[in-house]
Amino acid sequence: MRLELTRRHWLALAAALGAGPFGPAALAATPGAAAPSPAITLPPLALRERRLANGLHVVTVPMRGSATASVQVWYRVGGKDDPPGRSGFAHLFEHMMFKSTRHMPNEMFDRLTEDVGGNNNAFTAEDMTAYQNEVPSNHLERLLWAEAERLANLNVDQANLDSERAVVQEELRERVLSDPYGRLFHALPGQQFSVHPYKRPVVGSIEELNAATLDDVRRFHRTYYRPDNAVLIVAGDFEPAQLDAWIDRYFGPLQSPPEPVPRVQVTEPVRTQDRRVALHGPKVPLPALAVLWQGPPAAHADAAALQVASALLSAGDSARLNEALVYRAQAAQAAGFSADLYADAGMLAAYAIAASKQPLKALEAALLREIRRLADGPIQPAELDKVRTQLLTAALVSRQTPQGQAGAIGRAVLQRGDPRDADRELQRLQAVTAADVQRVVKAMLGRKRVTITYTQEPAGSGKHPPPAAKGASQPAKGASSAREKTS
Amino acid sequence: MKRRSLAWSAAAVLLPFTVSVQAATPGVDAPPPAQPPRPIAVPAFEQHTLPNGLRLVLAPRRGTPIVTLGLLVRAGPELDPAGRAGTAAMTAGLLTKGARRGGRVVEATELARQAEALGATLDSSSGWRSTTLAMTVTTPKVAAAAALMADVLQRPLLAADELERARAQSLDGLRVTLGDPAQVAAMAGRRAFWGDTAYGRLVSPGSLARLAREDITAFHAAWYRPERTVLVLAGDIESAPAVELATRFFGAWQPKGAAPPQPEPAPPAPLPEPLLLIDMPGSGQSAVVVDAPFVPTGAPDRRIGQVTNAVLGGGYSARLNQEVRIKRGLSYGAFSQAETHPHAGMAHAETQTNHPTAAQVLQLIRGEMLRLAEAPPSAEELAARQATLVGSFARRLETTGGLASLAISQLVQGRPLEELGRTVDEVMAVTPAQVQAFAKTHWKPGTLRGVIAGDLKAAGDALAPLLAPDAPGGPARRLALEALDLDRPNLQREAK
Repeated sequence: MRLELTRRHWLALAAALGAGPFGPAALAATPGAAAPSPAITLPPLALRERRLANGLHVVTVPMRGSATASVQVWYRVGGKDDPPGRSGFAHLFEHMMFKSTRHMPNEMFDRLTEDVGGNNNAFTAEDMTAYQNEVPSNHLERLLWAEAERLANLNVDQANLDSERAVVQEELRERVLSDPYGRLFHALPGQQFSVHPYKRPVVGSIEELNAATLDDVRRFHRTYYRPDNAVLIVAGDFEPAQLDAWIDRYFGPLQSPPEPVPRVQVTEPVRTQDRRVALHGPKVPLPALAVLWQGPPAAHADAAALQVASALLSAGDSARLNEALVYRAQAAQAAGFSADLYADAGMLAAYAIAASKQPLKALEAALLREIRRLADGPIQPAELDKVRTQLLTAALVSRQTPQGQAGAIGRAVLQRGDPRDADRELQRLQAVTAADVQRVVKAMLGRKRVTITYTQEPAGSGKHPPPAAKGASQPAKGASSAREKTS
Repeated sequence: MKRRSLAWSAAAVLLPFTVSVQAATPGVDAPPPAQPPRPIAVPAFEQHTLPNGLRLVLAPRRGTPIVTLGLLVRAGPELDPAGRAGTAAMTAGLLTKGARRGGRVVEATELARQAEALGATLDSSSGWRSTTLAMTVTTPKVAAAAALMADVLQRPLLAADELERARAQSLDGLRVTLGDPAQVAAMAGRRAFWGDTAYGRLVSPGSLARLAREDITAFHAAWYRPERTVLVLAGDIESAPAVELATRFFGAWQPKGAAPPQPEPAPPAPLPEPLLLIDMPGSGQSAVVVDAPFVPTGAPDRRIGQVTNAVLGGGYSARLNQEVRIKRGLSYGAFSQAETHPHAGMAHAETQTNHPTAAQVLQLIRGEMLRLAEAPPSAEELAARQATLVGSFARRLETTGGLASLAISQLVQGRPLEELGRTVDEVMAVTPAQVQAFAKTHWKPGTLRGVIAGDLKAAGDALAPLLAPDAPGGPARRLALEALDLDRPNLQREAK
């Protein structure tokens, strides 16, 4: 009975019980696929690339038979670029991009999309901010004009900043404070990263959001929202020559400033010891636990093997963690694994919510045992085939729509630097062997880990601030998890 | 810079060819004009009926080598026996937990492996008047998927140990549900609106505990019958192989005896109080719900109702989100939806907000519902909401899953599939006066039921006027979460 709140940005914090990033959605999160059966192969994306003189990277894919066009602009700026003391700023800024520009009033994007039968959305993740529109294709040119307009001519005023700040704070309350497991997932990055700005929550904290000023907004737009820091992706129903002319007309005149875009240059050190953290919340229906390991960056050669490992552990009911912990042992209400590989570093996380009356200690042991079994025990060819078929099918399903194709391209460009890597990633996933999976899981288990337990706070402890973590390497309010949710 | 002012709004955008005197230059300081619209092509749904009464619906969509298979059995929680809320949902859930295949018992883990080896999770779900199974697979896997779904539907084990497992998981799930203000408010709103009738029943820890294996097997035997079943195939498949597939896997299914008589649903019997306040100390936010009457599936004004709901809360720019989020920043989002059933319907608005603003948000939502009777949408506002409905309809036609779900929801509503070809025209034909009249007829102060679930202490004094004896429509009833009993008609645990 929950209404879908799919508007404006997804910043999907982990929802509880399998619906979260560790659940079935983890499958959708990998745009990859493989061709297990020679009967079906995924045709390569019919994409075309251009680079305008101002540095704008343009990728277009015509799709015959669709009456829809997807217009997406992905910027190389994300939560890691939040100014100091302003955690949550990149995301708050994303909201401001729906406010007025020199030539558009507030919420004009809704007039141009929703009001003509399309939709718009945006999300902010660790490394990127993406704006995604879908319109009946006869409105394509209007969206190009509007995206160029807000890239070049954003207006900001105090009233809009105040009202969007309030919205973002309600979003934080809804996703973090109100969700039964929101506080746990909010805490993960802060436990995973000690120096890299990934340690701050993308959704931020109420306090630091309050500190944001109009000057911050203007400076952020000037610094990061420029043609040479963006990728424009158009997929769907269009005539290529006409599309090129429109893009030249609306985006061609925009200027990129001469100074380079500042980049985070921080290397997260290798963790040198295991750590345990006890988190408490005011309303924890069933105790839960998460185990974190350091992982490679998104472009690393091991990424495909980790995606396959993640699918073996947690994609579908027959995945190992669900079968062993939820179904057979009945030790967990839900269990999963995710490989979140960001541009500069990765986070590998195993998690479980205990079933009633099941002690966390035993659950932790069982969770680790299953992961070790993947590293050391046999992986049958049929099990690997299953995962390949799942990944192929998921890719075919998502690529039915212009929005799905444009999204696959956006992730490939932003995470791995090349739109054609959307197809190559599928081939890499197809080629992953059992030995590859075991090698990367063994390597992971050889690293130091952080184990986080999440239980009901003791009675009478009064107020309920955001979770305070014993042994946290940073202020408690900085602990959070905010993640990209994939389409 | 004042050349455009606020008049730069929907009119100019939607009707770009009616250039206003103060027109800006399209493509420079205003959006360029739209191109002529492309037609929306609704595919022709092909229908066949097997001799045993099972229907086959075929929705062709070429281009991508995938097919969505959907199985609909027309039976849902409205058929739960008295005191056994959860029977239909539990039966649906147990379908995928073991079946007899080719004379052999296949247990849950192996069944899940077989399904997922085809590339998709086998999803079962339960809704009003519907139990559905669905999979999306590549074309070479279609026959294997149909075989699997046929076995699961016709020959499930419905095993006792699986019932125990599912019961334990559902009880844990309910604990999580009862910690979430949004879900608590939605459940309480349902009971407040429908009262103690079939559509107001709630699955509770008590009703879950009472379910016996015999309840499940009896439900399956009574209602899972070929003449109540529809197989939907959407995607890259031709007519002849589809009929062959349906005949091969479902043709031999024979109903056992006559179907039991279907109970007549009772009309809504709302609780007397206009508002329930449910105290959930320590919750992170307050959930606010308002439920109101809506029309039944066969009503001549159901399309008007659909558009009216869209004007109220069917989208980001609709009135509820305008007032609650866009103008005031009180929530991440406020929306409404409508459900229709053969005998009655319900409109449902919900949002979440910080505790101190819950009372304000409740008044805003109620206010917007009632205001629609006085303030019909402008032509531009209505056109925008109509476009939203048409656009989301058109996008569902672009995927196999969307096509299958459109066909299934139409069948669940008891509406002919041909109607899908008229949907766009019907939506576009609705007028502002019709929307106003709909709101005036159905949404009156006394017919609305509200719920606030959250930390009532943290809400401060704002709730006091709602509890006062002279509150408009009567005082709210306050209920601690510990005193919430989903089995009791009025939700109130009996005093010991």
